[in-house]
Amino acid sequence: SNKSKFGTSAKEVNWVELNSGFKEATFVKDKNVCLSCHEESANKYKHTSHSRAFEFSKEGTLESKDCESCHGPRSKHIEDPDGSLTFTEEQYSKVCMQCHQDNSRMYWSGSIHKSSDVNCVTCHSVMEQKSDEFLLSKNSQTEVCSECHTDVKAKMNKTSHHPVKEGLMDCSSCHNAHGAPGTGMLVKGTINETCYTCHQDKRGPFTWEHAPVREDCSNCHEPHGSNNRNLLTTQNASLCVSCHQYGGHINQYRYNRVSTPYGNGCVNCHMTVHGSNHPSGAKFTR
Amino acid sequence: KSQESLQFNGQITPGIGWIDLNTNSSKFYEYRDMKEGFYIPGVQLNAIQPNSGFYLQFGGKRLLWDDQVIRLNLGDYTSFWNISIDHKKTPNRLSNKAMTPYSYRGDGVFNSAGYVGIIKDTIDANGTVSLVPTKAQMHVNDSLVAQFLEKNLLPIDLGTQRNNTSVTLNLMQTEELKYSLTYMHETKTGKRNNYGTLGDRPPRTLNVQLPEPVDYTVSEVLANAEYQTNGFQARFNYTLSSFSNQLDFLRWDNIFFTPDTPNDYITTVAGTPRNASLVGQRALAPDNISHYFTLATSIILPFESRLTATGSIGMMSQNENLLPYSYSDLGGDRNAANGDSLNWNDPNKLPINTASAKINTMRLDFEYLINPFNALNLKAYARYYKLDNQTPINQWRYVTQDVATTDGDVSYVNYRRNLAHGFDNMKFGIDLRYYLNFWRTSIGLGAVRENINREYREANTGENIINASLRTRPMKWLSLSAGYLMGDRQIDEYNYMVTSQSYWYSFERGANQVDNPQFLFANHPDLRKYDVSDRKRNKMNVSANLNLLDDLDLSASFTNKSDDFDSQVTPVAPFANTLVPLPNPEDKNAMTPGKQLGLLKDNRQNISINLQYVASEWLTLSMYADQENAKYDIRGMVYNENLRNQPSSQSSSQPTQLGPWNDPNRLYMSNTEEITNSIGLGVMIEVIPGKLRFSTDANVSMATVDMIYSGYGSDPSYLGRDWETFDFGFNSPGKAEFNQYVVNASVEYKVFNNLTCGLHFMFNQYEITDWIQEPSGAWVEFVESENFLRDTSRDNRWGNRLVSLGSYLAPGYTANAVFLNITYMF
Repeated sequence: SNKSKFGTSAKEVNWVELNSGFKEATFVKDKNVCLSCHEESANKYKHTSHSRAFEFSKEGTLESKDCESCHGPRSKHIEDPDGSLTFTEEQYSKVCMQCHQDNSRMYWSGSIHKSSDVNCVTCHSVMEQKSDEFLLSKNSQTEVCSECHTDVKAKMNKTSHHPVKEGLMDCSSCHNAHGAPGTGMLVKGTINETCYTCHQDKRGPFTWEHAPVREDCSNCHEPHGSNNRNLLTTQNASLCVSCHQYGGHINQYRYNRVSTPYGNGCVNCHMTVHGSNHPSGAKFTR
Repeated sequence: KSQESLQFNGQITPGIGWIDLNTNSSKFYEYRDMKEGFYIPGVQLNAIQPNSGFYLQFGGKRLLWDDQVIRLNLGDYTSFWNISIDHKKTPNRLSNKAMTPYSYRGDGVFNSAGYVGIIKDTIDANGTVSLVPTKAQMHVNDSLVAQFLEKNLLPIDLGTQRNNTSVTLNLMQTEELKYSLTYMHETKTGKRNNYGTLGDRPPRTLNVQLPEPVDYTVSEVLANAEYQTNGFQARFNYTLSSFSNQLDFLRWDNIFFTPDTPNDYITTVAGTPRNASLVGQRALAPDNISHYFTLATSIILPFESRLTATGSIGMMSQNENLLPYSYSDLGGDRNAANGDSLNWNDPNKLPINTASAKINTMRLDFEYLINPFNALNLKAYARYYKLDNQTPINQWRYVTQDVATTDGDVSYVNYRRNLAHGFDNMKFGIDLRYYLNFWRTSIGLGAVRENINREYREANTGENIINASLRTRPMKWLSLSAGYLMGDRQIDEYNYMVTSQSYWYSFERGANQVDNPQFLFANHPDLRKYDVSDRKRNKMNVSANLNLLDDLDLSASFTNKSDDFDSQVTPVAPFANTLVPLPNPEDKNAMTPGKQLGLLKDNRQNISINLQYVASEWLTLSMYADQENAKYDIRGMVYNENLRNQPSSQSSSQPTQLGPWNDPNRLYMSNTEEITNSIGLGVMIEVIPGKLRFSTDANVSMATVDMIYSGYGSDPSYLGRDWETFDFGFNSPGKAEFNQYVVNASVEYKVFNNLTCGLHFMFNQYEITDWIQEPSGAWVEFVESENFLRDTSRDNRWGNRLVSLGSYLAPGYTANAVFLNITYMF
């Protein structure tokens, strides 16, 4: 069968549409011809998962063309080996999508990355293994993403942060860089559902719900990093006072006077703000 | 034969390390495990059978430590299956210096070594029992507590350890059809800092900071099936997630308990004797389970357009056995006229015995992409999300009988109803991008409408968002982009009485309550909660990317996001239509100040510069600098909720008392500014190409949080006394500072082709100054140790005392570490 490693019923790109120089070009289908000039690249390439996939799937629709499955029919290039048969980064993405439209790339076409001129080769180094996974252009996901998202990189250095720079989480723990419905390209349908993938203890549902918590974790938390404890968007008691002015005991940072220093201000007593399952949980104190 | 041809390669890196840490701070170890001596920073093993295509890949990092990451992959390149096993350990160290008088006995129970034995009540000059100790007596009590702590404090490590293992099987049945199945198992154990309260609210609360045990497991199954053919793809996903907490409750001894009932009063407010329970108890996160079904499809339609549709159904539920209202046998309404002869610690007192909590969610998402003509991309989308909370609403009583008055029912205002908060969100919009035929320029335009309807909330919201963007490349070496977004969120009507829905007592029973939220108001009418208020959002960004040389990239960006929550608040008369008889009928016309309370503005600004220099494979340089500036303004008001129905009361109008809710002089402002400056540098040099490499990176992050407090409580001319000695006084606290300095440097020398030696140096410094973590004002002080804190500016209530785990639980530190590694490749 024409089984492809990538299992996508790969639809071959129209090479002439990408570059009119391919007109009348044919597939050479001989890797050795390519190696005769591109040995240095090939030496790096042979350590990649791409290389192995092609090596062991020669009967695949595209894999059988080996180098030319990505670089197009090269007969004219062999005749005249100049640099004219090149692609823009965006065109390379079309080439990649021959095989990689599947799975997490289903939403790529409408993604904010694509519409912002981010392309496959912006983040991936398909000809060289530079990372442990995913053929990234840098050593790690964090390095790749922070090339553009410097502000997020800076947030990750704040005193309260997720363990991303420590290598125990990746950007892809929460985001699908290849696109997703909704804002933020999150791996789940909503912010909360994304947070629940690790914070199942906050998922509930609870007998006593805290409405803004149930609606959107980011009402109170800044997941990329914060100067306030527990990734809060604002200083502890300030956050509560932003919404609660019941009068008397709760509407000032100092009150209860000993709970502002030490701990979490209001949360010293109202510690179950994510929801309570205690019969006396109406005020989130149990 | 194929076994014989198995080919191996890989590498192993053993090493030895030295760490010089000047303070044993958990912050150094926050998310990492680092030990002196022998360690294995990395292992990689690859095996492949060239004949069959079978492969095995094993990779591990920090194998002997509690932050290890391990991955095993095996599969077959020719028959298209693979299995991956991932194992990850994530520590989260919270404190190495915490001290507590509590010892953990397992099953969520903390015992104290004993009880303080405080002075409880006294006889005043008239021979009457006074229930508030004198200042002198309370200082004796403080000394007793301090002595108790000195004798009984024990160190306790705070932190959790999360261990996660997942196994994934990927199968390809045909070129079009693929499956995957994942099983994930996770445990999380340890202790984190939390609190245990007895009683109801601060003056009558006996609060202690204490560890909370963490011991739960999560099991998940993810099944995925995917079909793809030319022009059509579909993916079905099912996720089952089960959270199982080994601990249902946290139970702790009341160290202030004095076992001489019936007179074991904790004295709080004169005339209100409170019995104190021996033990406190509260619920921990309940066992819960969730199911998600998602079907996503994408189809190519005429004109090369593409429609993607995603539908998802979720079910979250938990049915944990409920704890009784109170652990103690204090109180109950056994003798009350309408009592039920059951004590508060009797589970039969509850309206239901299991939580029966359930939430269903539904998500529908449609996205249509088309290029009507070559230069135009168009995306139209509609997204709908509904969270349907089906948890039954019951009638409960907010019982604080672990510090009880007398036998009997709770106050009417503590008749509470749990509300099943839910919402639905409808969002639809259109994005256009038009490509001009010069300078690779494109213009983007977008328009969005988002409506959110909420149950039991103050308001529904509707927002119009428009955005525009421009990208251009006027020169080969210069790319520019700019974007602007304007959002206008409007509410339908702000219902500041919505909280009343969480009370269930009858008007007849509660008509005389002076702080009756059901018939008056709970939150101040001038408050607007920022997530359900009007909001004007303006966001703009500008960025430039310069390819100054072939190997030199410089980029700079500026972003500003401004949220203005001004909701055009005007004075209102909240009692105009109240059913509650007011002590002073003219208060029906009392008007609020009409100054919006709560978060008023939030502005976040960011400037980033990034430089990349890749001279060759042997020399790379990167630098970045970033400044983030966040400003947010909050207005608050101090008023007396206990005199809510009589704002004209003279007693509430005294300057040194909590004021009436209609007094504009009781307003205060806090203006907070956070500034974070970050710079980083990275260099890699192949000193001898292929032989000797030097790399280093350095990061500095310096942050300040500065709160400027003004208005009521900070103004001695209004208070008639200094804020330090006024119980509702406050003033601008000291600036909080968080500075981090990190330097890593490595030298790697390839001794032989298969042997590399590496010397790695690490410098970490963390500095912290935070008024929230240590008393710094005149109004609060340590009593003999950092584990006991008091505020004596007003009186001698227990609510002004706190036994804690200590100040700066994760203090600053300076660390130097050196690691010597040898990497052997085979």
